[in-house]
Parts: sequence; structure tokens; C-alpha cells
Amino acid sequence: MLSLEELASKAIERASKIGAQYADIRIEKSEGEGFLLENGKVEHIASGIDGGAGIRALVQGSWGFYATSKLAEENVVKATELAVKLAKTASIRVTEPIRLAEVKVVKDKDVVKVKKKLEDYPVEERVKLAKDCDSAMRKVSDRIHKTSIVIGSDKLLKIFHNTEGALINYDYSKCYIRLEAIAHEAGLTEVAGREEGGAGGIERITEPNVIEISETIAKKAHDLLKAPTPPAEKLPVIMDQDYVALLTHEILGHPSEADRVMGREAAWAGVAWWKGMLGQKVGSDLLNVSDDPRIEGGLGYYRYDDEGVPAEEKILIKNGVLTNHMHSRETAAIFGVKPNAGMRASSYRFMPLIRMSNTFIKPSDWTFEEMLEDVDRGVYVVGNKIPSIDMKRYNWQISAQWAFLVEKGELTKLLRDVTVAGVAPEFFISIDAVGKDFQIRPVPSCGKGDPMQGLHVGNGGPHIRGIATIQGAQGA
Amino acid sequence: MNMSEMHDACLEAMKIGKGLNLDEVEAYALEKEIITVRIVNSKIFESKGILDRGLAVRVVKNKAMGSVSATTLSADSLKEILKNASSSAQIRGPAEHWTSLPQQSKVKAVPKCWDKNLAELTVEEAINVAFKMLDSATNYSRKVSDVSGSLNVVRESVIITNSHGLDVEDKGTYIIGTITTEARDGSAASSGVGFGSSRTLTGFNADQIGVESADMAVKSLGAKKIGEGEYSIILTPFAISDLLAFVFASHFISKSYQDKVSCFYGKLGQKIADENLTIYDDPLVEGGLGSKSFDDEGVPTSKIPLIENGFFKKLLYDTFYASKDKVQTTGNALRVGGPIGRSYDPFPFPGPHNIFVKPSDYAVEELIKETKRGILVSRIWYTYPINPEKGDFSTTARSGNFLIENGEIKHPVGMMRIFDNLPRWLNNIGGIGQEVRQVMQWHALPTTVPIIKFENVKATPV
Repeated sequence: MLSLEELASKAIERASKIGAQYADIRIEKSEGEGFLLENGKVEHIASGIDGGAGIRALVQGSWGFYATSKLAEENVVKATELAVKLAKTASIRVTEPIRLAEVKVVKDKDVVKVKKKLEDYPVEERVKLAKDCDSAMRKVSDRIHKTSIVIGSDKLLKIFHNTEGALINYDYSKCYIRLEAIAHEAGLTEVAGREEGGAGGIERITEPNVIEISETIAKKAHDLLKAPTPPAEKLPVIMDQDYVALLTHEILGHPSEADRVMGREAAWAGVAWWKGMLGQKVGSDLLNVSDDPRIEGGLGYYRYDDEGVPAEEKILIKNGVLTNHMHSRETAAIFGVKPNAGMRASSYRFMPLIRMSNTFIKPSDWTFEEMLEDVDRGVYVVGNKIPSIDMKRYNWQISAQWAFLVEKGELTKLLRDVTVAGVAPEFFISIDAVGKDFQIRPVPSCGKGDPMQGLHVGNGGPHIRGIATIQGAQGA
Repeated sequence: MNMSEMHDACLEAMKIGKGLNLDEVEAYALEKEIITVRIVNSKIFESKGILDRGLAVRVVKNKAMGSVSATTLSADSLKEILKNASSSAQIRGPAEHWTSLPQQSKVKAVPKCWDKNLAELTVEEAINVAFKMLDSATNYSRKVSDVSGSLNVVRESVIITNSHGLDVEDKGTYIIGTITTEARDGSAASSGVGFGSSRTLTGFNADQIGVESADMAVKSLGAKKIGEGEYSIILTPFAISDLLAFVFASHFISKSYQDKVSCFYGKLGQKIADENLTIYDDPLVEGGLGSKSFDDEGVPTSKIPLIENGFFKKLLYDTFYASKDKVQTTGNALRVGGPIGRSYDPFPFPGPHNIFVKPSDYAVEELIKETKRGILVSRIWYTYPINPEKGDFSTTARSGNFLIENGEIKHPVGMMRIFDNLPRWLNNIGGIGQEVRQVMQWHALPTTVPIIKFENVKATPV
């Protein structure tokens, strides 16, 4: 039986022999486990063992891809032949052949740093941790009628090999927890939740004080039952790191993907309002945005992307000026820039796409207290819930977990069901304070592509302040 | 591995379970091939496929359930899988409400859900279909500036066995195409969408998808901005499908109701919508995109009324959540797979198979004629339940928006944001169309829906 490296070489040799001008293969073996604990009892528990290979071939300037969930030599070779056939068939009308920007050929290992191995904290221990979180939530109030805690972890061994000779071995692991408290009274339901986790070992869920977080969210879910929902109003809004994480994800990260900028996602995830605006001002001088896969612990960690390109910090916006996008080797060639390692697939099943890794607003020098001091009347929003964004990522509305009214520099009243709406350039120009309290937060559900690829990423930043419109509940 | 080998693997899992003294064992095997052709910037950009095979196993011991999914199906692996599932069950501990995995029932294949021609469609033929979709949009008008979209061809075979003797097998084929067209005329720009889906090759019209998309884009050129205000909003089937999949469906799932996060919590049996509104989950429609004879734990499916003449009739259950409420499953266990069909997720979750909105008596022209001040909206976008427990949702009217005044379409209008509330909408229906279309949005749910008018909706220009 061939080793995985031998299998990868076999596929690449076959692809070259039957006409691929370029080909790459990702072979993966992964294991995952997770459970959902509700009201102190495990509701569902599952594990998964997955393995397969995805082969991408460039033939006569056209892409083909085929994946198999069987790692026998005959299946991988057949998949390789189908990838080449798909590319060749689609190439009959190619007028502008795909070109790939040159990159250094890398042979390396990419091993995620782990303080405490996943296997040293077995599921039984994790269930105990979840039960402690549950207790912390439910002791807050009898109006907490449901607690929900998900703990999951994944281990991935992956090989990337291509016809240029790149050979990269990946050894990744990650761990995450989702905490949620549901409060109900007199027909009103309020939910508060938070995620922790990242690339690494079990420390990603044990180092944050998840018990304290559990108490906080339960208290908030309870208190929200009595909180008013605000009327619509345009005013200064201070956003915490979790809200900034989703705002950055949706309104700064996604439109920075070069394929979107080029209109390639028009039929699915949308396009980018700042198409053609490289070098132009898109935000205030305080707005600095980067994407950096190398941040240890970030849920979007990697040192090489799924084209084998070494990761680097992508400076997307500098002092309010749009400077660069996230690129594949192909879009880098079109834009005439250096490839910056933006390509990822959620597994071997899928062809890589340009994706965020850890995308964030960079910190400045404000403290939270200084941001509050200046506000005569405003709102402080905490945590994120659900976004709704137009197809250009121009007009947006994102709900918060909870919010406070700010009056004369002080947090005065808890508010429920708060959404914040804005128009991207107006809001980004209005940013007049950027904090120093930087955090990368886990964002576990980024979707893109057809078929849809769900991916874990990291997003974040510090507290920021700008002008936006808040709105409250439309229903009860 | 062919299906008979997968069936053998399922039966082997039963044997191993017996050897491990487990109370119940379920094995679920799936083979699924997907061919996807992506069109971007008016060219075929990616042609891709996957042959995915896997097994999901659930075991029960002393009312405790554990589950595993795997792509490795050798005899040794099966033993490991069963042991892992068994260990998980021990960690889980008993679910006192648990009754039993389903018994064998008679299942009858839903007609027109599998097509030999589609199952055997070659790569070359699939790419030709995609070219047809592309060409029909590109050639529609010189004003067409950019075409993007995709064709997905899917074939799948599923086998479910359990230790109560349940042993069922089914297969399905699907073809789904979507095209987004951008049009340009001087400085004016617009977009349109066209779509088509079928379980059979002959039921799929590639040309119509491109034409529909390009026609909408061209007709939408010269959009004027209109003011914020209250309008009658007429949503076409493509837009209604978005609302049903992303805002409506979750509120009818038993778990949402048990958790009190359904915006209709406490209203089962009560009137929650306009009396003309009737919505079923109907997996028995011939050739329905979400039609299937049994659910993802082998229970025969049936037509389930969610809303009947405005009354909240039923919740959607699988066996697990039904046992919590001490009721029978409704046959709505789902392991949802992309871009459509099934997956081999380790355990199922309740949900709708094939949402069907009963048509009423309005022709589209009549709905428009009876509208004093409204907007016809053909595509809504990023429609999400922004405050889910309240039924609040936010969306943008993206494409094919036309102002209606005094019963006549006046001119195209630009994008609008709508931030509103589902219960309010369901009670403010101004008319339901007489024709239905089958729609499957991106990463959404199969639906069959008519055009619907909603009254007094606040819309804000973007």
C-alpha cells in the first residue's frame, strides 16, 4: 500500500502525463468529535472519521477538479483522470487562459502549536467542563429555561503536493466551545451566547474563563427580559470586539476577496462595493485592516494556503486607504501583485476559493473609558448575532447580543433586540476612535462557494466608535 | 464500492452491534456524486466533481445514544466505528424520553425522482448544458455585460438498516441551474436572475434559465430611486423561497418550539396567518426537488400541514425529538447534504423536506392591477432572521424591482432594504398567486411556491 506522499506523487505524475499543465492534490485524514449539552445533559454526541483526496488540474487554460472519499490508489488515480477530463472538456472555448503567478516552491511542515493535546482532555472531561458551564448559567435565574453548550474539536493531517514540486505536510488541531442561555418569561424569549476557541489544543477552551462567561451571558439573557427595545435613531455607536469581529468579517473581509471584487461570486455570495477603488479612501485615517493567517490561536490559522503559498500579513486598508485584496495565484496574476496565500478549501471535497483567515481591524490607542467619555448620547453594542447585507457589502444590518444606552459618558440602560444598520463608506469614514484592546474572536460559520463550503475563520479588532443607525425589535 | 457492498457494510454493522450487546443499531450508507460547472465573468471557470461515500452509525444502549460518521468502511473500521459509537453512548448517558429507532414500514418510491439519463449524464453533456445556460443569457441582448451562475448535477443512493429489521433503499437524481446576469446601458446597470431545477433531464430547460435572467436584467435598466415608505410588496417565487428557507422554516421545527425560540411558541393550533395561507411540507410530490419516500432514519414520509387556512397545525419531528414530546415522528429526520439531497451526518435533525405553499386564485396581472402603490420584487438577498425569537428579519430587494402605481408597473427601482417581522407579514397577505414554481436557493431548502403580495411593508432605498 502506498504512503500518502507516494499516493500524492502518483496522482501528480498521472495528471502531468495526461495533459495537465499544472495540477495539485490535497490528501486529508481527519477526526472530529463533539457534543451538545442542554440543561446539564448531553443531548447529542458524535464523532467522525474522514479521509480523501481532491485533485485540481489546469488544462489548456481551464480548471478541473475531482475529489474522492476513498484513498485507495485506483480511486485517487481515477479522480485525477476525471479532474483532467473536466478541465479539458471545459477548455474548448477558452479565450483567456488561466495563468498562475509564480511562487517559491516550498517543501515544509506546518504544525499548529499545541499547549495541551486534545487527547489529554478526553470527552468525559469536556462534558464535565460543559456541565460546570451549565450550572453557572442555570444558577443565575430560574427564568433560564434552556442552556446549550457545544464543545467540538478536530484534528487534521494533510498533504499538499503540486506539479511544481511543492510538498507540504500539515498537522492541525483546533477546539471550540459555544455557550448559549435562553431565558423566557411571559411570552418573551431572550437568548445570549458566546464562542471561544481557536487553532491549537484544549487550551483554546480552558484558558478563557468559560464559567465566568457562562454566568455573564445567563445574567444578560435574564436581564434582557426586562430591558426595553430602542426606537430607530442615528447616533454614535461603540462596538465591542465581538461585534467588530462580525462587522469586519462581513463588510471588510468578504469584499476584500479578489474573486468577489472581480464579480466571480455575483451569483452566490455577492460582489464588492469598492471594486476599482484600490488606492482610494474608504474609511477614516484610524481604519487599518489586515488579514493574517499566522496568528497563533486564531481559528483561521495556517502557514501555507491550499496552493502552497507561504502566509503573510495582507494589509488591506492602511490609514483608511484601500491598499490590497486577498488573492489566489490566479487573481494575483491578473492584478499584477504578489500572491498572498488567500486560497483555502473547507476540505479535500472542495476546490479552494479565496477566503479570509484571521481578518481584523488593527488596534490604536484609545481606552474604552475614553471612548465612552466623549459620548453625550449613544449606544454600546456587545456581541454579534445575525447579519443581513446587500450584495455589494455596502448597506448592512447586524444584530447585537445586547446593548447599553450611553448617556453623558455613562452606560445607563440595558437594551434588547438591538440591530445596527449602516452604509459602509459613511460608517467607516465616521470612525473616530479605535481602541487598544485588540482581540481575535472565533467565527465558526463562514460560507462561500457552490457547492457551499463552510469554514472556520478568526475575526476581530478592538473596540471602535462610529455613527450608525440603531433599531429595535419589529415583533414582540 | 457499489451499493450492494454498502448494503453488506450496513448488515455487517448490525452483526457487530449484536456482538457488542447493543440494544439498537442503525447504519446509514450514502453514495453521492456531484458535478458542478461554475460560470463566472461570462465564461465557464470551474468544472468539478466529487464521488463521496460514507457511513453513519447510531447505537443505543440503555436509552443512551452515540453516533459516528466515517468514510472508511472496511471490516476492521466498522468494528472501530461501532465501538466508538458505543463509547459515546456511555458518555452521553440515558435519555429517559427515548423510545426506539423506527420499525420497518412499507415505503413506495416517489415517482419521477430518479432519472437514468440524468444519472448517466457524462461530464461532456453536463458542460454542454452549462454552455446552453450561459449562451442563452449572453445572446439575449447586447446590453448583457456579465453572466455568472452554476449547474449542479447530483445522483445519490442511500441505504438505511436498523436492528429492528428496517432495511430501505432509495436513489435520486437532481439538476439545478442558476444564472445571474448583469446588464449595462451607458451608465445604467442592473441585474437579473433565472433558475431551473428538476429531478429529470427532460424536465430541465437550460435555455429558459439564461433568458429569464437576462430579460430581468435588461428590463431593470434605468432604475429610479424611490423614497422610503410603506408599499405593497409582491414577491415572486424566487424571493418567496428565500423567505421560507431562511426565516420561516426554523419556527416549525419541534426543537425550536421545545426551546421556546420559535416566534410562534405557544400558538400551536391557533391562527397565526391570513386565512388564505396554507403551507405544507410535502415530500410526496411527483418529481419534487425535496421529495423522498422515507426520511433519514427510514420512516415513510407524508404530507405535513404546517399552516392550514391560517392555523398553525403541526411541528416537524424526527424520532428523537418526537420522543421528548411523547408523540409520533412526522418522518422529518434530515441529514441535509449540499448542494441538495442527503448527507451522511452522524445523526439526523428534524426539518422540512419540500415546502409547498398552496396556490390561490390570483393571476400575477390581477395582483398588480389591485395594487395602488407597491413594488414587485424578484430577488431578495441575505434574508436572515436578525432577531430570530421575535420573527424579525432583514433583507434587501436585490433584483427585478419594479414600482407599481394604480395597478400598473411604472418603472424599475433600485435596491431597497426591508426590516420587518414574519408574524406581521403572514397576517398582512394581500393575495396569493395561482401558479407555483419549484425553487431551490443557494444553500437553502427545496420549495414549491406561488407569487405572494404582502401589504404595508416599510422599504428603505439602499
